[in-house]
Amino acid sequence: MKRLLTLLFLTLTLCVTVSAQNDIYKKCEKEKSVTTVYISKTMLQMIGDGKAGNVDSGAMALLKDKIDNVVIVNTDNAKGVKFLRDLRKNYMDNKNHEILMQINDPNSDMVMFRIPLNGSKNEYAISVLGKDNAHMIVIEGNLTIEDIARVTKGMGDKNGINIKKK
Amino acid sequence: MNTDQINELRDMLDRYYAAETTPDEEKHLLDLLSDTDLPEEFLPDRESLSSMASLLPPDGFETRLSERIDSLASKETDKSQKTVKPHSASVIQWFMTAAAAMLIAVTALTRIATPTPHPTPLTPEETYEQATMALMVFSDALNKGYAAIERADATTADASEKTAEALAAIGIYFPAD
Repeated sequence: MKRLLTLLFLTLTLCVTVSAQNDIYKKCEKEKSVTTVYISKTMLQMIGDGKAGNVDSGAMALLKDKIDNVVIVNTDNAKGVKFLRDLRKNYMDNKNHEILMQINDPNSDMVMFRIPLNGSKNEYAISVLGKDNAHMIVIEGNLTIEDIARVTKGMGDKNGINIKKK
Repeated sequence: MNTDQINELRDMLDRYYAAETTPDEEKHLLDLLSDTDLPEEFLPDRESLSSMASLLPPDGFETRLSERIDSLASKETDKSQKTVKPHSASVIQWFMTAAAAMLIAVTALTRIATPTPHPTPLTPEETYEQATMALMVFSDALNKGYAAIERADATTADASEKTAEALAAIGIYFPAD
């Protein structure tokens, strides 16, 4: 009986784990009003070090090791903006999602989330909403916000993406 | 009692004590021993066999006993065959096993049926551009956040300085840290 209960418990845990993975991708993949790009770890590792550009090559290598996948969702139509607005609301309503930063200025309406995953892994999501276009970017991996800040030091306004706020 | 009967009696007694007599012969022997003219030498035998006869089971006892034993034996056999072990524990175990098997099957099918995210087919250059763009968005947000913090710090420092100047004007001084 103990073995059976253990087996049941492990199976239930597996079910929960399987269902929790790649939620953002599942939600966005079939939505035709948005463009979804999924970048796996394998593809990230194919980036040659010579293409580091504005990013420090050593730091880029660090990120290639630490990032498991990246999901980028873009839209430039009203329906897609509504979809991403609803997606942001889902993230905000989820008590497991920590809001790291929220910026509301004439140029952008942005919220950054951190979602702890299994072990030391985290998911960082940023939602940027405008009147006619919007982004949602999700990065999963064994990395911290400091890792992202260190790698992107020096990048920013001159390279940032401007979203016109409604 | 004549001589032939006495000889017959002796012979039957020998056979009786040797356990060779049949029940009919034993009955005949008892009849002979009950004769009123029985010689004295046979009186002990008469007493012995008479007391034994009173202990003998009634007629048909062995048959009835045998039948009773057979009846009881058959009942015991039926009872042991019909006896059902308490199966509540085994039923629960069966259900748990079935539930575990179904759960495993559903999980396996879910994993097979759920589409694994397929990486968007990009060249390494396109992958680099997309990944860089994603990081720039984070960078932009972080920079704006840090800038806001710096402005707040500056504002706070400025406000503290002005407060200190105003207090100094009325003679209130704060000790230096």
